[in-house]
Formats: sequence, structure tokens, C-alpha cells
Amino acid sequence: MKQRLLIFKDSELDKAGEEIKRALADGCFRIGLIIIKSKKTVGEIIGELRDVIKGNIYPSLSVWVVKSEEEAQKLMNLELGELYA
Amino acid sequence: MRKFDIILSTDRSLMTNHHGKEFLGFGTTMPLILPRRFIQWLFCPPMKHEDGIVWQAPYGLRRIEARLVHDGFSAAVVDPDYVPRYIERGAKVLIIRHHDWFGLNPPTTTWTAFIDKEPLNAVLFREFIETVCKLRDRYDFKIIVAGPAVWQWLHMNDLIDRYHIDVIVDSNGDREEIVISRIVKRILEGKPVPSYVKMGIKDNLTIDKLVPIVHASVNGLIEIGRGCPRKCAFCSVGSRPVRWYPLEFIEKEIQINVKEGVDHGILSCTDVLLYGSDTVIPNEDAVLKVNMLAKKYWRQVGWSHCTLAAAVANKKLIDAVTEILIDGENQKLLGVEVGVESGSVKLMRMHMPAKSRPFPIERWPEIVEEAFALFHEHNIVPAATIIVGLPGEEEDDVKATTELVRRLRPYRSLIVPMFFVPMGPSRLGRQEWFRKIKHYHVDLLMACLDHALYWAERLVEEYMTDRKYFIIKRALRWFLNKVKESRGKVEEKLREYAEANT
Repeated sequence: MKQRLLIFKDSELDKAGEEIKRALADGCFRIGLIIIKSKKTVGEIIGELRDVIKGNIYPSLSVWVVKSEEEAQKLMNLELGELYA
Repeated sequence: MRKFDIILSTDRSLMTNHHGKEFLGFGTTMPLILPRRFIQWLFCPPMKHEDGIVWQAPYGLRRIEARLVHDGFSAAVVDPDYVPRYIERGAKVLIIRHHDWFGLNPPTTTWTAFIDKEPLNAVLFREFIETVCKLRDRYDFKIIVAGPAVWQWLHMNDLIDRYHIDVIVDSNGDREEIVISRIVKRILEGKPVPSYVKMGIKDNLTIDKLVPIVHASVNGLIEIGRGCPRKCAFCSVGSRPVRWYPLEFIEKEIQINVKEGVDHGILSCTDVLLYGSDTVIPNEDAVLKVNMLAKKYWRQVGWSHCTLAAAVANKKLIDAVTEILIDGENQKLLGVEVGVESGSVKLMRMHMPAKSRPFPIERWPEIVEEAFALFHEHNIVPAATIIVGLPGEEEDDVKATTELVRRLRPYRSLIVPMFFVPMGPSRLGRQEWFRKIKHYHVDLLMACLDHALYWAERLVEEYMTDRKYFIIKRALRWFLNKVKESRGKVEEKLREYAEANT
């Protein structure tokens, strides 16, 4: 199954919904959102993503909160299928 | 006392067998209007255990435990009171599963709309998680939360930080055990884990990946299938395809329960009458076989859910299946939850057009009455739900539902009104919560209460025939009398409340 990993800063979470739509249009049904945390807590990030999470009942969605761009890049090698297989 | 890398638990509202009577579990959604010790004793007494290893545990926890053990981890379900001790002994991961973490599900929301007191299940969870949190300063362990109601964390997101929740697994039951096993592996290997993970429809669990439970489940409840063909918009289960478990798998889970001393059980799925069917027409042979199998091992067999339309679609099947289950000696009734949801054809067509299939939705109120009559005749007791405040609801819709509830009075049943909650993931998951009742809602709520008062006392007698229930029955009768005495005041309060909303 096709996957897509998307990196966002915690200040640009409003872009997540559109990017998920694009990924779905490309046939990606496993989507990982990698969020680089600066000012927001994990709870605040999840809260802001609530509508995106609740509105997307079809894809397998995961949210990975990291502290730096470097950590985010490391996660770009993630094989999301490992979680579900 | 043994040591485990992974422990699984939940609070007392679920780590109990409700005195062997599953239906009493609904009492845990009640706000603390009576002394807490009394309602806790009545609805969720402690579970028998040995060094904290419980005798029966909620089925969802058992499924995860079975998968973890199968994958080679050292894991066990432990009593909530023993969680600190197992963490002190070195557990690295605590998995908590719940149905209603913060009292936001429809039954609790309905109570708390009028009664400004915290529901028992929410109190018990809060106390449990706060005890766990205190251990965080001294011990290094991760917390995973899972279960069908994890969507509640999305609404109470500040608590994710306060309670230091590491991973939220939002699976609606599908593949939950596999995903948790993978996450546990990552934790133990020191790899990053997601803060939130949800399984999509294309990642549905296939039957061949199922691992049977390894210890007894609460009241012998075992799953016989997943998904639902009716796909009602308010419900998340319908977003999953239908899969029925093979009889051999079901038998293994029954045998585990019997081996560990559970002599009664519940077949759980969205519609027991559709077991083995690819459509909305019952597969008679499959339904009889699964029920015969259960009755071969258990003195009493209950069903978690069935649909009214499936019952009406094959009335002879109801004859045959009750002949198997209701033997008159060990079992006199068959309890089951059903969804009436609304008496309004307009609302049914809007949100759940397949609820009546194979019959047209225009016949819905008629199907409900026919099914209730059929059940009454066969000693099946439905506990029916009504959804109050569905999106698009108008006065006439509520009136139609109230009239339907009144017409159901002759049939032995309970009818429970529940306020609409946008449960996720469902097609109505982003709609507004229903909170404000109008005068016509009061008529509906009172019709449901009157129905309950009419039947409840008789049901208590018939539901608890064993002598060991003598004290519980007295307590329930006392409680019912209190409700009867307060009926007038309840109506008055509701009318005041509705008046304030207009």
C-alpha cells in the first residue's frame, strides 16, 4: 500500500488537511504526519488536528511529534507498513 | 508476585464482572447522585484476582494480551489496584483500554446534561490515571491508551499532556492488537513512536491474523465478527467491512472461558442474527450453529446486539434459536441490545437508510413494533436505544419517536434515550453535540422513563433468578422505588430546563 510522510512545523498545522487530501488523491492510504514541535505541546498539536483526524476515516493516519528538523528527517525513512502488517 | 514487561489494565468501572450480569454495567455511567460506595458496590464490584492477575478481564484487553503473548512479550492484564506494584516491579509499558474515559459517550452525556455531578466511570478513570501519573516521577514507563472511545482524547487534549499519555491508538477494534504489539516493540527497542495512530479502512484486520484470547473475558463475552453492513452515519462500526469469525475460533475462546470457570457468555458483534451472512438476510444455518455451539458449553448465552429488521426478515429463525437458548431451567430470557434510534422515517432515511433492510425504510416504525412483538413472544428482552438530537431533527421527528415509544409499552423491554454524540470515526463525527432539549424532547424522555418504570421491576425479577442475587435485587428495587417517587420532580426539572432553552 502506498504511503506518504509529511513534515509540518507546529505553526502550520492548518495545512495538514489539504496535504492529506492530495496524498489520498495520489492513492496513498497510509499517511504519517511528522510535526516539529516548538511552542506547542503534544496535546495542543493533537487538539488542533482533531478535525483532520476525525474527518479522515479512510486512511491509516499517524502523528509523530519530534523536537527538531533533524529528527523529522530521520523519520522520513519510516516504513509505515511496519506498524500495521 | 511475577514481573511483566507489559501490563494491561483499566479502571474499576470495567475491571469487574458486574456481579455476572453485564447489563448492570450501564449503571457505571450514572452520576454520583447516590452514595458512591453503594453504586460502586452495586454496579462494579472488584474482580477476583491472584496477586493482581485478574480472573476475568474486558475482552478488548484480552485480545491485546493474546497478541502480545503470541508475539513473544511478557504481558498480563492486572487489576487497577495492582498497577503501581507491577510498575514498581519493572513494567515498561502500561496499556489502558476504556469505553468512556471522560464520561462523554451517549449514556453518560445524557445523564450529565441534567445532573451536575461527575459520572462514576469518569471519576474512577480520573482517580486511576492520577495514581498512575504519580508513578511517572519515580519509574520509567510508557502509557498507551486504546479502545473504541479514544476519540474522546481528541476533545480533552489538554489531558494528553497532564496525564503524560505517550501513544493514542485509535483503531475502532480493527488491527488494534497488531498495531499495539508493533508499538510496544518500538518502545522496547528505544525507537520513536507516534503520539497518535489510527487504522484506516484499507488496513482492516483479516481473519487469519486473529489470535484467540488466552484467559477468561468478562462474563464470557467473545467477539464473533466485526463490521456492519448497515453503515449508519452516526456509528463508527459501520465504516468497517463485515467479517465473521470461524466457528473453530469461536469455540477456542468459549473453551478458554469455560476452562477458567466462566459458565455463561455473550456472543458479541453488531448483529448476531447476521452471523455468517454476506447480506442483510440471516444465514439460518450459521446462526443456529453458532448458538448451538455456545449453548453446548454455557448455561446461559446472551447476545450483545442484533437488528430488528434481521429478526423480522426471518421469524422462524427466532423460533428456532430461542428454542436452543431458552431452556426454561438455566435460562429464561435472552437479553440483547438493539437500535431503534428514531420513529421518524425522515431521519432514518437521512442517517441510516439501511437500518430497515431488506424492507424499505418507510416501513421502519412498523418493523420496530413487529420485532418487539416477536421478541416479547419469544422471551427476548431488547434494551433499545433512541438517539435524541440527531442532526436535522425537528419537532415532528421527535413526536413520531415519542408515539412509537408509547406504542411499544406492551412489549417487555427497556428503551434508553441517548443524546447525539459525534463519535469518531463516523460520518457524523464532525457534527455538533446535542445538549439543549426542547419541550417536545421532554415528552420523549418521559415516555422512555415511564416505559422503564413499567417493565424494570418485573425484569429485575426475571433477570436475576438465582438466590445469590437476593441482596442485589433488593438494592435495585429500592433504587427503582426512589426513581418512581421522583418521577414528578424529574419531569418538572426537565420542563424547567427545556423552558430555559427556548
